[in-house]
Amino acid sequence: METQSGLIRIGKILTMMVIVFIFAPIVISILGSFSPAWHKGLLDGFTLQWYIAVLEDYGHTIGLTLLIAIVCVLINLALGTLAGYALARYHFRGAKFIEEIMLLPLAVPGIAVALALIQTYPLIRGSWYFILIGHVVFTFPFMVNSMLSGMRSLRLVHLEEAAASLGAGWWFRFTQVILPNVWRSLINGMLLVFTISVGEFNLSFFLTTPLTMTLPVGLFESYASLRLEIASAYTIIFFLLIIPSLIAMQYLSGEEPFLRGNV
Amino acid sequence: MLELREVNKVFSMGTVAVKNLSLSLVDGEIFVLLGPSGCGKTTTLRIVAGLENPTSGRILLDGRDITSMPPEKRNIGLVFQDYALFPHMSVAQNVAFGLRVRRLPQEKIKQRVAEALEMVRIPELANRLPKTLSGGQKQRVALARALVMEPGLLLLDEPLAALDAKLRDELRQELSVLLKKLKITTLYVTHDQTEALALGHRVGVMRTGELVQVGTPQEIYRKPANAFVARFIGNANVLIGRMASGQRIDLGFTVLEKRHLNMESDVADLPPGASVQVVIRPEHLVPANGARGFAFYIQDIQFLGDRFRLLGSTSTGAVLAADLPGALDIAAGMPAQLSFREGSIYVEAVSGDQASHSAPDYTRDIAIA
Repeated sequence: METQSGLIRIGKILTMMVIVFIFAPIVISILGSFSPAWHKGLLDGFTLQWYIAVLEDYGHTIGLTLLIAIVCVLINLALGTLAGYALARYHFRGAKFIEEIMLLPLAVPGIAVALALIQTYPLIRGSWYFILIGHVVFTFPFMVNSMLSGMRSLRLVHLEEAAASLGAGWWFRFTQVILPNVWRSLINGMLLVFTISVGEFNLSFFLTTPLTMTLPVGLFESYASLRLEIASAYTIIFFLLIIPSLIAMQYLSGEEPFLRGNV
Repeated sequence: MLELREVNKVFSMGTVAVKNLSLSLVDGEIFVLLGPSGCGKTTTLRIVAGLENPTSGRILLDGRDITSMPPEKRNIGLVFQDYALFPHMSVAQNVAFGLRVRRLPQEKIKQRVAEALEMVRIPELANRLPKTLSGGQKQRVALARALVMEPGLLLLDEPLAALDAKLRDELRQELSVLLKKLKITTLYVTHDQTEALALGHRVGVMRTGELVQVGTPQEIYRKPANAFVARFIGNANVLIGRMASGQRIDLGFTVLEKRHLNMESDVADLPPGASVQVVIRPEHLVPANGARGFAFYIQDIQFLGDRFRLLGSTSTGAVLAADLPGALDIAAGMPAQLSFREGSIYVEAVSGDQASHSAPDYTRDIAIA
């Protein structure tokens, strides 16, 4: 008993240390973002000027990042849902191969994807569409994967066959049987795509121009130019954009999966 | 009326699932497709439902060719082994689904759903979600959902296979009464011969994609087309014998007289010495009671409630199962004298391919299904 509780105590202390280690930079960023001068901290007073500076200097990156992320989610919603559905539904020749191909960008580094895009489509370089395409290519596998696992675990194909035998055409089956049962996977995939798109740096770094700069690239620039207070405020804004979708994902996966395995 | 004409199904990997299958069901008939798993019975059912396309052949329903008609246009009811209830809908909503597709007025839907639930005796479950139901209840819902559409044909794919034994018997009896009362044409797929014999007006036995035999349950039981069917339907001792003079059959350990054979057996034309296949059901063996019988060395006695099953061997070593009713004053290890029930044994000539790899061998073992 003694040694066991001793071990547990050591474990608790280690866990606390790890948590402190992880959260210290975030806490310091928060403190720094409200401090008039980075090295003095809040002792010198409290200010919102860095936030205002971020919005003035990098405001456009926040808007563009959100725009790209939202359009990226919408494109994935349409394409990824259909692709996931098709892969789960039809056992056509080469379906397995297509599935592998679609999941390939997961393994390929963002830099490689970016360079390939630049070489393939030099004409649209400089437009934010370019970054969007990169993000869609990069996030698509995540959406498809989320849909596929949702559809397979619920044996949706079987449910759809039952619906067809009851006279329901494709649209009726899709909207009345498929969608009501995959909304969880759907939203999960959308949040995942949103989070990845907002935080994506590798690809974006190569695809952006000064006029089409996204948030992570801007953040890199602000740190690189050693404006630490602005970078801190910028980081906090970045967190605020991403954290809600992270929490939502956690909430979705934490709840008992809706009727799973009880078809 | 359902008709399948020379239906073939070859899957993309080259597996032949259904081979040249022709079949027709008359209105109101319950036809059971029976066979071991992987014999193509479920694929056949899925082809009829429109969930698979046949590689060749036609499907006709009431004279119309429905071979390339999508499933939703066929008005064919479907019940799966795993129920396939819509998990996000209540029992009543599940049953109402097809009626909603047909855009029936709300009032009408309500009324017909209530009737359907009454029919399968679960009106009290109307507002429950599928995940809160037992297997038997789920299958009742699935049945109500199919029947409420008043389909031209009902397909049941191993509907009782996922249930435990007692519930399976209960639901089977109810299903039998219900389907016969509604006079609904039914194609029922199962691997369970008890279900097949109890439910079917006719039974089709399938093996590796082919229909081996089609007949009423009695025909199939009394006159199995071959050893496979004999073993699959009920319990059977299948032995190989040799024709002797006067339509007698030499089994090695004893000789079958003509009076032992059932009406279906036709051995008049067989020359002496020809190999025949002999199907002896356990209940066709009786105590010799002083008459001339053969020695049976009992190895095991099993009490089955209404009878005893004796497992033992004959003087040639052939292993037999015999079912005897009532109290027995014999014990394992004792020899007994057995004979055959008159007019019970089915004998047929061994066909060419069977003869080649099972030459007359009096010690062939038996299969107790």
